[in-house]
Amino acid sequence: MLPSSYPCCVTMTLHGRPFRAFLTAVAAVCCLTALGLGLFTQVHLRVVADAFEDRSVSYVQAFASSALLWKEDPATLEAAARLLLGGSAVFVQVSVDGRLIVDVRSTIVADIRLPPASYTALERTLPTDAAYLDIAVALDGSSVTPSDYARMGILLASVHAEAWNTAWIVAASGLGFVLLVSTLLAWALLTPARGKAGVTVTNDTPTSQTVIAGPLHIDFDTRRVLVHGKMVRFTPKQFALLSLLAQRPGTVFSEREILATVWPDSAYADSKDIKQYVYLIRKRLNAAAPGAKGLIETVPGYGYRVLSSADDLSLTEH
Amino acid sequence: MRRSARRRALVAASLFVILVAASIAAAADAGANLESGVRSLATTLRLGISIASIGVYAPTWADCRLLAQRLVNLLEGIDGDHYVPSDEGDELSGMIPSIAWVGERCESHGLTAETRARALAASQNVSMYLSMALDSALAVLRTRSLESATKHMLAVYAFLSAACETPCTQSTTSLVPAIRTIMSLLGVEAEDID
Repeated sequence: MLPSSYPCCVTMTLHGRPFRAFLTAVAAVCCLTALGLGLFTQVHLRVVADAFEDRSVSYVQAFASSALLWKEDPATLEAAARLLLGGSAVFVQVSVDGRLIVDVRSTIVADIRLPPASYTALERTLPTDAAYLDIAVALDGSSVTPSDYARMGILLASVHAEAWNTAWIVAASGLGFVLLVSTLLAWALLTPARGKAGVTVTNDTPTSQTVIAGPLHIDFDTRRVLVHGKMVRFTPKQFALLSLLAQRPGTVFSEREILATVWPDSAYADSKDIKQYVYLIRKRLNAAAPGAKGLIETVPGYGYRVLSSADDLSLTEH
Repeated sequence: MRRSARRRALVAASLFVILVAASIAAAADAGANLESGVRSLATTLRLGISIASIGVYAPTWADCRLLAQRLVNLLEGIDGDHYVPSDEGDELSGMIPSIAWVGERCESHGLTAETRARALAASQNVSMYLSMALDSALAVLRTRSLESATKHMLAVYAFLSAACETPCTQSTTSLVPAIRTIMSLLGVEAEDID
């Protein structure tokens, strides 16, 4: 019969499998975040581009309304057009009665021949590879007036820059989210670990508990002990003693602790019994795997311990 | 002795006639200056409304800011605290100083007491609208988001339109007296803002 404190101690030790779970979870979060960011970026760019096009068309329409008011004063109209060149506009044209009364351009389009005006917003490219929206609207608001129109070329670089700025901010937030989730996962998965490295407790189901300490493998459900893959049979007391030592490999258990745990109801058990049982356990381990008796070490004056992977386990190798 | 007295009287009469003529000419000139000042203000106001209406639809924050700075220049004039010289290189007197000047001139202009009071009240309204438009234009310059800039630019447009006393088409909505009232009181045709 196992001591009552035993299962509790078992569940406190960890090894590689939870760490792998942690890495898997982090990788999954990273992949999902990257996928989300990718989707967001694409959607965001599309939405921003659409909104930019809508605003740009309204911008040109507002300018056309003003141009209609100022068409008798070309100097003022040209001054207003030049003002717009200081922003996203690369060229501004106003045509009245088929004659260009305003044609102002920034230096990057000063010498190029512009394609004919189109009454839909068209994305075109300059010789410098800069993309721009070419928008022409009728001065009087009608859709078909080839002679009276206001036309503007609006660079897309600015909206792309704004969209990418937002995307980078979201990406940075996503990275922060991944770090936060990773930290939380690490805390959730690794904090319960109390055991030493090289020891694994699996608790796949409430009824399946196993301790692995180097070559030693103990299954509590079946009460089986394997050393280097070979099964070794123990009496219940031997099994209880070995299990106690194996629950915290590397930790020295005093004779008093062992007596209190393995022989809790016996007033007569003493250190000789412990020594005897340790001897028998070593003997059985060694019979199964030569050298495995070294798995249990006597610490003179203190007690006994099962070697952890941090210890030199070469004695236990075949 | 008598001839000398007659000559002196003739000189005095001539001087009087010249003074009267000069004062009449000066008054007429002042009136013309006031009318041309109001007309110029109305023209600038209309330009400001056009710029604000374009700025409301600016596709980027930078465009909105550019137009807002132009509006600040138009409102404050070259002596304004926030005036930034533009490529236009124009010498702007500024709408806010102009309406203050119009108010001062209205007081000394040969208007009846009632007309003067109405003109002064209207000029104060215009002055306040323009100040609020300036505040909103400066808010556009301070903000860094297009949404916020658009909101403030709408306010600029609204205040300038109010200063222009733009009537709703075929509407019976009552209007707060502003530049149109001043033009009407001064007998200036409102074609500059229509």
